[in-house]
Amino acid sequence: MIAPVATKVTSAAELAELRETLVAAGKQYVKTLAVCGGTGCQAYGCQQVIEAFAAELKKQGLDDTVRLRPTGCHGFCERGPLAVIQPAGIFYQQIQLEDVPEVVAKTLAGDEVVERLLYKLPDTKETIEKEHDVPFYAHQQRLVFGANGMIDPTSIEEYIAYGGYAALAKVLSGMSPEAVIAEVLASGIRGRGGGGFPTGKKWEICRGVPGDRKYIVCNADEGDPGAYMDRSILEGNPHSVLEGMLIGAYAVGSDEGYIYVRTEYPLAVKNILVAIDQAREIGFLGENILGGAFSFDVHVSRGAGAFVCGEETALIASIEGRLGTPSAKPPYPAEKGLWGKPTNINNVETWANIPLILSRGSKWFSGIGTENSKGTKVFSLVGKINNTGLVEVPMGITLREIVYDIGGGIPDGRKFKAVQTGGPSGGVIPEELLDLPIDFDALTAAGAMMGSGGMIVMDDRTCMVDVARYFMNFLREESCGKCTPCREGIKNMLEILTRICDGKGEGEDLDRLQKLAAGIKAGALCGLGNTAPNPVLSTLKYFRDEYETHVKDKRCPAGVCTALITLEVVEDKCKACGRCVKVCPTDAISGGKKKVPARIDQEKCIHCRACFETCPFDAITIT
Amino acid sequence: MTEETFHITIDGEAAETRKGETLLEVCRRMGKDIPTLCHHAAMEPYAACRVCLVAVVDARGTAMVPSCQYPVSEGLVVETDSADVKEARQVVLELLLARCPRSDVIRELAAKYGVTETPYVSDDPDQTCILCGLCVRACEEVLGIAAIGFSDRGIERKVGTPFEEASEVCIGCGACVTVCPTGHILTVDEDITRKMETWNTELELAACEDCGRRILTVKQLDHVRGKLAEQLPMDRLCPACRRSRTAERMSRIPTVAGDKSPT
Repeated sequence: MIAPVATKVTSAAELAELRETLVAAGKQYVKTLAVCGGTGCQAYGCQQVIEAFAAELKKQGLDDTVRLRPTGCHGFCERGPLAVIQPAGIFYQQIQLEDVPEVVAKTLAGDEVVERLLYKLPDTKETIEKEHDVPFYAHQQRLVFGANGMIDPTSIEEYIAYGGYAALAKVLSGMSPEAVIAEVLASGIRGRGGGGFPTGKKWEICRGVPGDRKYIVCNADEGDPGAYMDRSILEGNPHSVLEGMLIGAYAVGSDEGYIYVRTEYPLAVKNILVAIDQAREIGFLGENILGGAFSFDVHVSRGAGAFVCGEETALIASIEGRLGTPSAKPPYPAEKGLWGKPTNINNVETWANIPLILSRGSKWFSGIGTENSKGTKVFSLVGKINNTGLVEVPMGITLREIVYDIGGGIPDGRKFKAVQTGGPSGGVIPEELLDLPIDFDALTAAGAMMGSGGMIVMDDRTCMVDVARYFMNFLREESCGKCTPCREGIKNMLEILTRICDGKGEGEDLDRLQKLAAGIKAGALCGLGNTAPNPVLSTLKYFRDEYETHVKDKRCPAGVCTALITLEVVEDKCKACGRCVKVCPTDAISGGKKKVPARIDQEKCIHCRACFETCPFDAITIT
Repeated sequence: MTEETFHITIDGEAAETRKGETLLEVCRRMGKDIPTLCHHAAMEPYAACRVCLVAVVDARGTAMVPSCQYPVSEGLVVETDSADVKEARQVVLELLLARCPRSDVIRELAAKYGVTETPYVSDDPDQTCILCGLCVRACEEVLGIAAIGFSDRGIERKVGTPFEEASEVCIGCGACVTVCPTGHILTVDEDITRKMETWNTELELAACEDCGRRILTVKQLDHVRGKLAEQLPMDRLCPACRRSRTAERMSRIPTVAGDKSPT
């Protein structure tokens, strides 16, 4: 740990000097052990592992030469608790408490690798020593997220030593607000929160609106099921978000900002509050930042976790202390936002990209990605995938690379079926589009959307009608209820989908769904409603036959919809072990002993699948 | 400074509009029939019921916008009667009809758009609230009282007093009843009590000092008095008694012709 800085930094030169001092002080450490302290690894008990490392380092007398760095999320959540030992870059996974003394003695005191903690390739079982050689990381380009492993999120000194606040210093040492906006425009970055609106354009509009007071807002109301990239950035690198906001505030002419974050993200709230305190102490927030005329400060506003509060106008209402419901646009927040003042809202990941663009230049940034989608995107890769976690990839990478090269494919040897992108506002992408280059426009054209970057992988045992039903149920719960199409329409779409899954679908139901979807899309008040029908529309587009099988044949091809399945015993495979007979709650299974194969009485069977889950011989089929 | 004007086209007709006007205002001025449910001239646009949808056509395509809220801008091209617009309103009306199948207002409006039945299921056939928010807004925005508000979310959203308990702040003015487009809010005066039935609230009616008739609640009277700097004469009388007292007083004014009071 570098000693905290006590004095204010009042110029760019002082900041550069401080950075040199901090880097020099860091040289006392021969090695750094970065242990992931993200929320995923916390669930695996990384906190105890970190404490054990601290005690062990002290015990073995290494605490002066080995730096223990608790960090934010490294992304490979599937394999936590994780640690990386620098400078060698050795990657240990699934570290248990009992591994700690050995790691300290062998790898930290010496240069020996603990073989069993290394990542093994699933097919060849070959071990991989370095983090950047692990396939999960090797295919990524971690511009925004990479810093998570290199800094302690609760230490502004580590952020500065890593090059933090250099972009702010550059901006405040002679760049005009117009020049900053021009740079962001030239970078081509588009909003990472969902809509994909060009960030520079947004800033330009807000700057152009007359007003004595303007606000900057960071939207950290991430609410898509399965998505947690914004959470992990706020937890792991809060200063990068603050630095981005500071640059944005300077560019649009604002001196006050808000971070709207959900209370369900306690670590993110804690770390951003720590970061704000540190930034105030050192003088990066407050009056006359870095000795110039620019002043800016930030408040944290905690939301209660309503999905709709991620929508800009609802978010504004919530910060103002009103009911978090959207209002119609125009006027846009850039003209009339928080307390009626021009307001610029960007999402966490967008803000975290800004310091990179300003320090490395728009040319560098726009060199990454596709023609109309620049830079990288962090996705949360979840669902039926081997390597669950957060991945950062250049725009334009194919879905196939994400799912197979990084994600390691589908578990249990199952077949890939589709990916849901963009959360409840997005849609599914089927297997035939696996080679689709992922960017804003390609995803929209395919009927899905980038959204904030959720990616839920589904295998062949996933029913697409059930998936659509799941998302409509989520949206039914999360619709604010203000406008008729969203409130009433989603409820009715859900009822139709439930009916179809229950085997009570009617011939006209698919047309009804289409019509309702079109009506909600066109007629709803806000983005939540306008995009709400997407999960249904995209599953209908790519998996219409599956819907039809449910409606016409009263069958669920994936074997998911309980009312539509039949469980049967394959006599050749049945070894008459009797396990299914024991677990059946309705005594629907006869036989199954004395070499007589089991038989399921369809009248009594309640489709609970207990027999299917229990059978060790795969002798029970679901059709 | 001259007022900024915008030239727009509505259903092929050119229209001159002023900055700050909404499409609904312009359409109504032009005699176009745009239905509304959540709109009231005394309140800010709310854009929630969506029956006033019209189409804005530009290079990017056609977008449905709520005319009650959408501000005019130069060169706007608007359709209020196209097949798309009708269809969008039809979907909304089918949904509202499923919500409130017995509401005459909804049935009549729906029938006007050819919607006489709905393909969707009604959860509560006696429901008459369409959640237009007029009552809530009249109480909060116009009167500044906020006795009622929304609770819950989505399809469970409802209007009421906090925790559906008797309101401590409701003055029983009945503005909510007046603005409600579907007659959902019930109130009745019985003896010395005004019952705001939908809000589980009862209020005492003040008696006219002359005739004893009760037409206003005590709280409403206090509310009105509180807004005035001075006390008005005869503010404890009902309008009828006020009239007759005024007439009586006027009768005592000496006439120009003679100076004796009439008998």
